[in-house]
Amino acid sequence: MATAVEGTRDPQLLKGVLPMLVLSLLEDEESYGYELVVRLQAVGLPGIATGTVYPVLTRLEREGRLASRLVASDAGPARKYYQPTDAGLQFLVDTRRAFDALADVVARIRPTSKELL
Amino acid sequence: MSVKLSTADRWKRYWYLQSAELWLEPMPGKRRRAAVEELKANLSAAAGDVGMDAAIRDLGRPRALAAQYLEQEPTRRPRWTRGAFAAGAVVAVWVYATLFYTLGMLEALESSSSPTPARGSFLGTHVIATYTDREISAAFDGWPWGPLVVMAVAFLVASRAWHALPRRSDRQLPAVG
Repeated sequence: MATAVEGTRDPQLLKGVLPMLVLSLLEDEESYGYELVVRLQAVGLPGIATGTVYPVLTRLEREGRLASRLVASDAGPARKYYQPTDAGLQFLVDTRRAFDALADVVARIRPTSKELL
Repeated sequence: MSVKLSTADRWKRYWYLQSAELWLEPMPGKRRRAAVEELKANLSAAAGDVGMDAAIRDLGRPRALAAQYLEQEPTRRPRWTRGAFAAGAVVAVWVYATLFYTLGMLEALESSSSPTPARGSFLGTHVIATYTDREISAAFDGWPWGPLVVMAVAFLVASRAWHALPRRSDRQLPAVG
């Protein structure tokens, strides 16, 4: 079961890891923008706004880390489905390594619960 | 989930996207149109789930959404449309001001009952006003340099024209050694 991230999270913190999360989910299964937002909400980011995710998709595609294809929809304009490119997957590996290394440091020096209180 | 949108929802989507596109003006045209088209598809899909009002609310104000897109852009670009609006506003003010000045001259001629045309100058434009029983007219001459300069400045400032220049950080440094 996914654990929801508390609403008090720092938006900048999320912004930093959002490309990694997006690429990870799209590696599992291609999605169009709104569908991806719903998936992000389902994995533990219930409060994430659509307006935060769409610009990231545009940027990753411009950078060549995502490829897209248009799929006709019977209830509106064609939807743009994204999947990671090889460059995107390499970026995901690099980012994940960097994130894990940083998380490891944070885990080692994080304050105790007494300090937090 | 997707449902057929009502006419009201289509209008709400249309106006939101129009506004967003205006704020997205610094984006290159092809990518801007693609982003707006994608927003349209995503709004339609979201509206099927949560309704158009909630879908639009979740996207945020068009200006804030555009700012998030522009934040991801690699380079700064001038906003020529905004500059054109500013220059147009200056022209409109100048035209109205000149018109009121001319009307003032004609009114003065009417009250003085003078058959002689009146000459005046307003912000660099020479005005010849005539008010007789047979003729009411105004002729304009000369270059309004003042308003033209203000218009050019308004255009350059509002469009942030200096963004068209390469940034110092974009320039290549000379090789050392």
